[in-house]
Amino acid sequence: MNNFILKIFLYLLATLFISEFLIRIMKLTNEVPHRKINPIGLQTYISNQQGYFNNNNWKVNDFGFLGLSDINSENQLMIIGDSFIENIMNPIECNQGSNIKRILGDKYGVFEVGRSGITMIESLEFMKQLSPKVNPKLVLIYLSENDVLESISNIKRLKDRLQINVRTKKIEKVILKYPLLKKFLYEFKSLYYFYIKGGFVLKMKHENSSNYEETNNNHLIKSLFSILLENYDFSNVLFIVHSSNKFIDNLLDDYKLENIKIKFSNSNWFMENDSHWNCIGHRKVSELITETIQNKFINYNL
Amino acid sequence: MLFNSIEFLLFLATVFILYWFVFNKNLKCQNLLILIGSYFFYAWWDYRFLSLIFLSTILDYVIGLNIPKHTSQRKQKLLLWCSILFNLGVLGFFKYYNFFIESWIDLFNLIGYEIKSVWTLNLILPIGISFYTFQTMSYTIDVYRKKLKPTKDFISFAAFVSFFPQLVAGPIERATNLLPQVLKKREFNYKQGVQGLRLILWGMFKKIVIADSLAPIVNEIFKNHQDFGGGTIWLGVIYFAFQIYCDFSGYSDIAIGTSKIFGFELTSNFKFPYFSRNIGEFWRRWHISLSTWFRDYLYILLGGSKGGRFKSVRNIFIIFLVSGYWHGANWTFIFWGLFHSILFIPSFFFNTNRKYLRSVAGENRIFPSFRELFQMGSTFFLVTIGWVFFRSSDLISSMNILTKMFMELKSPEIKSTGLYLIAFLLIFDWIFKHNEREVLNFKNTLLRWVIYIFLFLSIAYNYLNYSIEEFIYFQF
Repeated sequence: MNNFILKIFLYLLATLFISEFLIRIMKLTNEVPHRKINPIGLQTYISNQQGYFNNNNWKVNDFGFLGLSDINSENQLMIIGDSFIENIMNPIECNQGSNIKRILGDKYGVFEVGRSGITMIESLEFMKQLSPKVNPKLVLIYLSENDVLESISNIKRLKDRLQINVRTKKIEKVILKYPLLKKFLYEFKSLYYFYIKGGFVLKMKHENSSNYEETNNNHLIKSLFSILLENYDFSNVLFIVHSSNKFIDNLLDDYKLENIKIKFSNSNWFMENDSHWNCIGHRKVSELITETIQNKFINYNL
Repeated sequence: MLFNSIEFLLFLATVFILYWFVFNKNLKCQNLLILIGSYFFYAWWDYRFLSLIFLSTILDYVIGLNIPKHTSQRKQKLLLWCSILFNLGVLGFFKYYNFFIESWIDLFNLIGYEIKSVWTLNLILPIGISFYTFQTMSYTIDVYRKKLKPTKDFISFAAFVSFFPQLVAGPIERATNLLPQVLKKREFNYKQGVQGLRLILWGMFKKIVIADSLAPIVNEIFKNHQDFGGGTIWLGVIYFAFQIYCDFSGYSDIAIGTSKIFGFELTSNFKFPYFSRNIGEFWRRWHISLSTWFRDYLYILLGGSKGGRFKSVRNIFIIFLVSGYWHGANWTFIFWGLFHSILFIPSFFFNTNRKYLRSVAGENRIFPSFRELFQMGSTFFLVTIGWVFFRSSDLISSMNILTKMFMELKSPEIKSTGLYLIAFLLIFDWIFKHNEREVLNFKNTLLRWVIYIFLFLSIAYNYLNYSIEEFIYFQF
């Protein structure tokens, strides 16, 4: 029996070693940057990491983000958003910042704060914390329905997201979820490959559980907006709203928060097997908003 | 629970550890573990139908114990018929009830009486029912025939009926083979364990890599056969021949291999059937546990070949028709059985059906002779024609497909990459054609390990990247 078990163990070890080698050589898994909680309690990436995703190389800048990092320009723009702005799945040339800069010209400086899973309140916190360093004249915050809902811990507590309890008006502390396990998985590529391909999912029952229950959260969303208006300065903020709902759209208008609503009509804006924009989608969105940005800068400089 | 799933691997590892490391000293505990494990394995799919297995187990256990107690032949026969009627009744109700009703309605409609279908029921076919009912029936029949002494140990008997490796798709075990093994103390045997793991690996490869890769192409061609030319349909039918072989023999290999690591030896179910040189040999190599079941419990009961030529031919027809019907409540299966009986009867008349009882094609040679190649090719050709009936959704589709295959010959319109997989399979099968239990047992250690790792990685890659199909024989 001992010999039997030993042979199985050796066989699995050899198979694991070879699969690890093959996965690395063939780049079958994407690399994801490791995260940290910065001194002010916000989640960023650990600086100066490098890797590849969909065969595109990425690098984390000194601020802990993947995108453009111009600061203190005369025409400084700050762009904040979730995975759409982080855009790890496309080359950096397809980022919103790169597209806007290409259209507006090099006299504009762009600083991108993109991180997957960012919430609305987290975007505003980043704006508050980074504005003294970046000095933006205009801040673009890309917003979707999820970013709003995930800001409210009363709807669903997500420990790895910055959230606010709209009843107590207190910001909930962020923790990194399973940091050691994630580190282990990212380093052990064959296990990571197995994980991302759903190999660990047991197939007894497939439950289509959505993130949120179909309850009406509108009163909570309204409370969130009231709190945000009390605590943040929106004078130079332009919301770019995508994948939203009517209630949030109306709320932005009612509170006179400047916004552009992006309506999607074309499926070739999106990546295959992924709900994110591809390079065409990014270009189209940036084309839709640059005129407004340009006008804002003209008004600002006047 | 599917063999080709991660949950089965976890389940198998857990039961293996408990079986050999925790309950090793106690046979009763080991058998209880097999029983609980088997019920858990079945319940993972649908716990409601466990009651059917349990009922069948209790009934045959009680009947088995009572048959020898009666000295009167009539009473013994009555008990036997109780078991047969119950098992066939359950099988008939769940599997054939709707078919009978619909066939009657169709018949009445044909002669001009319009009948509305209010009698059909929305029944779910309990998985594995065709297999375990035959297994328990074999027990009572063998006890009645005095080939086997009934067991008093209920746990062991229940473990025999529900033994998880072969519960849902065979091999259909005889009580004379499996029950004594359940009742006897088992010792771990290294050679048997290694052989078992090799069979599991090879079975998984056949199922996940070959059968599941061919399945989408086959499904597309059979579903939209009207859109394809003869060449593509030929390719689809050949792919199906190998899909069903790899699917079912893959399952059997995993079942036999899994049993081996627990110290059991199951009946062989496949012995490289596509290397058969005539139809008689094919039926000795394809789904062996079912064909021998019908031979021993039905053909011989009907008189076998003892009552003259006419009676023998009648019995052969019956066996093939019942065998076809066993696969499902559809006329296509009955035609498949009928087609095979027509293929078989000439060899019965010319006494060639018992040819090649012991030998294999290419015996003691690396390559087969031209004569053998022709024989194997023509047998495969005929069997493949039969698969058209088996795979089609109805008889009209079968006829349309056959017409296209022979009347609209064009070169295939789809990629024939599946042929590389088939070639790979045939090479491996040919190398180990002498003993189906010794697959992958290459003499060179390095080569053996390289092949083990290659197979494992291919399985993992296909499992993670392509859709995983249920085993075809689960529906029977």
